[in-house]
Amino acid sequence: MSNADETIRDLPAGETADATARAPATTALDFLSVRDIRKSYRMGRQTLDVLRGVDLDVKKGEIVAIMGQSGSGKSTLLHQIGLLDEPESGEVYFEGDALPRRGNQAAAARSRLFGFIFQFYHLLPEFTALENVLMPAMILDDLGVWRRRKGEHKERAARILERMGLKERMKHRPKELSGGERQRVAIARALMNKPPVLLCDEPTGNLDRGTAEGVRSLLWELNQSDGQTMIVVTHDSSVAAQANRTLELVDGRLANTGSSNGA
Amino acid sequence: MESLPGPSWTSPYRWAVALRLLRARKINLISILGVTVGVASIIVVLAIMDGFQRDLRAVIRGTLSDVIVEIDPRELGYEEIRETVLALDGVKAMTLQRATFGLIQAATRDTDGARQNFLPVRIIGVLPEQEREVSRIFDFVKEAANQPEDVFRLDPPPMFAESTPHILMSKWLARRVGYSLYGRTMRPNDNFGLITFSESDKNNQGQATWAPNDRDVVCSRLYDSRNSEFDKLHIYVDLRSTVHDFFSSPDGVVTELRIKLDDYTQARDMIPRIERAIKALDPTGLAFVQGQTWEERQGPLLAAVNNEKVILSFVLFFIVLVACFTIFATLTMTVVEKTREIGVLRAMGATAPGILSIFMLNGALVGLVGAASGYGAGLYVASNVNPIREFLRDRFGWDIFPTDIYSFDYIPTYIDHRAALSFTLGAALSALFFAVIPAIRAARLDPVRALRYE
Repeated sequence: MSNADETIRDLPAGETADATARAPATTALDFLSVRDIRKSYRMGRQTLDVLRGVDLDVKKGEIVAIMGQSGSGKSTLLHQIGLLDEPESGEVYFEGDALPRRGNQAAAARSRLFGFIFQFYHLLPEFTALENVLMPAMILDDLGVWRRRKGEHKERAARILERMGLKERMKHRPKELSGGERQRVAIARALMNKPPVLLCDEPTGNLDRGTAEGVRSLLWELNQSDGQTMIVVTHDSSVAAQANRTLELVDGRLANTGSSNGA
Repeated sequence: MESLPGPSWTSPYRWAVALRLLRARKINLISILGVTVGVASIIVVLAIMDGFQRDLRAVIRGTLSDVIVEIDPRELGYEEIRETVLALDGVKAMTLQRATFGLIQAATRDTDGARQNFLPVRIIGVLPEQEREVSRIFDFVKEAANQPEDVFRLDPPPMFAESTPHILMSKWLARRVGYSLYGRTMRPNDNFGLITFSESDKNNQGQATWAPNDRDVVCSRLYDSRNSEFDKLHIYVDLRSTVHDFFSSPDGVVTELRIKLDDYTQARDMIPRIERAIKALDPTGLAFVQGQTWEERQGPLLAAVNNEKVILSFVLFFIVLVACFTIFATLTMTVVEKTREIGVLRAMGATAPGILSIFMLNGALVGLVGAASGYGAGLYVASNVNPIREFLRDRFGWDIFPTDIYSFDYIPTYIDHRAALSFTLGAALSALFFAVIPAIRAARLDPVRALRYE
């Protein structure tokens, strides 16, 4: 970690991640901080600036909702935070340390620090619910560790699924599960490696209202019981309304909507 | 941030995903089957071709010696030549053969009844006790004889004159001649007419004239060299006892020396030495002496069989190539279909090399399973090709190996395990090679685009 970074942490923490926060030197770093993330896509001859210097600070145990119009770059921001994509510039900090952006180090950080939940669940159809949940551990462990800890992992995966109310569905393949059940398996999978941060991309976007509420309350319960930190990208204002903070992505920058309900 | 231990190259998810993809996608079975059929076909065809080659070589070699030397003029004394050649280092045994042509009197039956007919034969005069040391012709004799010269004797002696020349003839000729004369296969003790030609008086211009000699001969034994082309034409006589019957004239008689070497691999070096030694015996220095190995004498036939084997292997490897293209197509399709799953795996921490290895493993498994089953199936069929042939013939009336076309009444096979394993390994490696491009495509997928793929 550089001296510059240490200086940053000593400065007072910025309450919001608004567009005025530019250089890392001007704001202190939080549990998870994003500084000046810029990302653009080439569309033929045109360049589309999707993220124009996004700053964000998330406290430990906080649920931050990010809203915005379709195509505003919400998912792109989530991918940047989760180290799935490389920005043109900017950094993601976890507990004050800048995270690697590429290669095996980025993959390792992704695997240990973040759990992804997607709108369309993205379960592996060839595997059972239990195997899907075990997959992050299979990716993180080498063969020796896996052999030693397989039983322990299986127990944990089963426990999480049980907590998700899927005790009877562990041996079922995704196609044998309902939408809500699939999303709960996806949540269980995201929790498998005990990631400090969950990144949820429209977690209720593909579910009917009742099921969506069930999935949301499950996530909020995780936050309440385990202090699980979450960044939730959503279109659903009722979901956003129950987050600790709601930010809106407008013109490639995050703006505070003013709602800070502390739920 | 301190260095995090990254996902290891031994992470179990690679095997788990590769195996599950292999099992879940039935189309992989087609690829495996393709490799299996390709490898099995190559092994079976190679085994049959090798079997043919080996048995054909054994058959041809059985009637020939390591080295054959043709000599002209024949006035050179055999005993002198024999002494000289046997004195050379590396020469194990030697004998003399003289040959002439004759006609066996048989009959052809047609609508008008039986008609006189002649079968041309090559009469080979051998010295039995010496012949045994250079060739295997007496091993092909059906009724065993204690001594090689006994092959040309009958016990008890024939009912007619004992001086009647005794003939060792092939089973094939015995059947052909026997049916025309006796209505059955000829047996030892049966006699038949043999016409040879000898030089008679000179004509007005002083040129030699040829007169046919029609004499009775008796069949003493039958042989079967399994080379029907050879068997159709050759009869053997004891040179010593029949030299006046068949070989009285020096003209029209071909003299050959048959030589066995201590080490056949030295044959090409030995032949010039043998030729020089024989030429040195000729005071005129004009003698024609030419040596050949048995392979050179049968060169075109052996080369043709070998060439057929090479061409067939080459053509059959295309089956494996087609199967490999199936693997390529299947894997490419899998990568497209599994794009989102690849993105999810990346989101969970899988690295690009990890994704690459999943699809490489998939291709390798298809190749290995296909090649291994092809190897097994190929060995099974190659080892049971004759029972399979009999089954097809008896059950469906379909004879895949008509014996009247080939020299053998069975399908000869020889499994060269090293070659079979090389082809198996080659097929498995080809499968792996064809998996490389789809695997690289999968590994290079941008995880964000992969997750958004619809």
